[in-house]
Amino acid sequence: MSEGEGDGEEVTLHGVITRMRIHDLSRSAHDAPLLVDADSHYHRLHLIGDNPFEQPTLAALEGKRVTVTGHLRNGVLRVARERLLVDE
Amino acid sequence: MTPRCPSCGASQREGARFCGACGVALSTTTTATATVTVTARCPHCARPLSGSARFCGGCGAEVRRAETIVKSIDDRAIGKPLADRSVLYVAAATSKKALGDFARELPRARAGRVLWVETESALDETQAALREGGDGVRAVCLIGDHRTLPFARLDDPCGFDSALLSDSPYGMHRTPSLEERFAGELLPLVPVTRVPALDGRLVERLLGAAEDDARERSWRGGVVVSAAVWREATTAVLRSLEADVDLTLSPPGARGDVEDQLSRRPARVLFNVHGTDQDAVWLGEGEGVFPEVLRVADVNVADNALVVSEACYGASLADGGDAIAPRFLAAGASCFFGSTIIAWGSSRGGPPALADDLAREIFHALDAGDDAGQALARARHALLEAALSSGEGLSAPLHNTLLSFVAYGAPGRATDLGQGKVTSAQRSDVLAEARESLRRRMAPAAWRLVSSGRVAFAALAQTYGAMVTDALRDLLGATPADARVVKYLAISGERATVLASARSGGRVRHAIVELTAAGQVARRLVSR
Repeated sequence: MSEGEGDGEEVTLHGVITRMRIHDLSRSAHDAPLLVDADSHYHRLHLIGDNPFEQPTLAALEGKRVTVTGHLRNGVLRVARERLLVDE
Repeated sequence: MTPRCPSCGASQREGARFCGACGVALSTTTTATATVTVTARCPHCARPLSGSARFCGGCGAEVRRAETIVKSIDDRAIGKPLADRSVLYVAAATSKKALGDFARELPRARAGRVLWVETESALDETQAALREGGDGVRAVCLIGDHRTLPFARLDDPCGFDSALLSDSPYGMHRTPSLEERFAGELLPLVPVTRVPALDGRLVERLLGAAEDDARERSWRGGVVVSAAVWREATTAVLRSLEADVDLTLSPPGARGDVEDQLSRRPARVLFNVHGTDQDAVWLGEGEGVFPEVLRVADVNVADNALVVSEACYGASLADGGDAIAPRFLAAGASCFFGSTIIAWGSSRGGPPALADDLAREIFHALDAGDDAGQALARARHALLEAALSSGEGLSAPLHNTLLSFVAYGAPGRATDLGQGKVTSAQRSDVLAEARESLRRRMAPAAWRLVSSGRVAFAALAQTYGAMVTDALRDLLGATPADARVVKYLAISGERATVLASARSGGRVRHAIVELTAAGQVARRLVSR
């Protein structure tokens, strides 16, 4: 549970993985994999267990279409590895 | 005939029950026909105040204007010894069972009293107690984590977190608005610390450690870990502290190296690394890689160790028993300082800034004998004064730095630390002069932005002209009239970042534009 925003209800998203710089100018500025949905909305993702700044699993999927299911924490969808599906 | 105070002779307004000059209670017969010019309202009861009143005529509360707040912080929070019954311990009523016998013994064993509150109204009840307690309360100590005593949720002008989480409002009479905070009302009236646990033995040990003041006074055997990209800033901080200590950079340093160093149980620890709100892990950074440097299982320190973390979310309690910050306390540390949300500091390869400066000032204050709450209060003062004195003003990152860093630990024993570098009178002058200087340098619209933390698009266009409207038109595909400024981040009077959005063709697009006063769009980025 986050003290900033409690883990919310289960959410499923579909879209393409892209990389973008987030939290620019702050100490947390870094390139992060984001999911872009059909409405061109960007969603931050975190694959539970992966290095949260490098996110190697998601980074390797850049340009791929995926379906992810997880829970939001502080605006980030936290996804278990088995709930990350790469669309054919 | 104008009624006058029987004690000091000051004239009174009609209906006043207390003298506006000296605060003494008035009889009703002395207040029947008074008339005065109304210039402000009491922040406690909202009744009108006369221009020079020091006390509210309606409720008797002392009127705390910005300059008097600065003075009182110096006098009360830093400069005076803790007196008997002076610490307000705050705990949730639901915590009594978990705290066990200690809950009953606390008021007798310590100089202070316990305020049992409901979780949902913990902040309101604490602020009411402070208003009623007058000068009797010298420090507030919260006992419990965010689940029993929630952090105050404030607007985040930087816009990266859902809220700015802070303990500071627990040391205020009321929670200031964003506009009031940017006008200078952002420091607590009294130091606030938190013991983020409901373990009675841990609470007792921390309170006892603070009273014994058995802390290590040197950096001998200390551990300092820095992301390689922040080596310059960390080195400068250590130089200022005259800390003769080995610096571990990551990379190449990683978790095993840090675990090995912590196993020697250092008495002083400084981490200048990355943190995240998604996992209980701290990380370094260099050449595009972010090695893990610390997880909960690696935490180990000496008894009464002093620990400061500059990491984003370094003070997070989100992962409960797996959170890093409380583990330092459980391992023996007497105090821990860190940020509840994203932190701000030096650029890569740059000199110390914000979190770096705060860490340095905290250690300086601890070296001078301050307890945890006093050290954070003094460090905040140092940063605010430096920014205002230099004319930089109160930027959104500084605003967040001053409010998001918290002190975990206990109020110390009675200490007299009235030897600050700046007297209260000088401190008040510095604040007033610096704000006036900033106001003169900036266009009225820009001043309004900086002092409010928010902006209307029209005001933005007025300040930056075609520079911003052209940039947003390019990025958003929308006319300026269709765009909405989401956040305005004033880095200084001459540089700003704008987060804007616009609906175009059925889509909402978002843009970040970095502007300089020289007419340059320094950076532009389309994001969510």
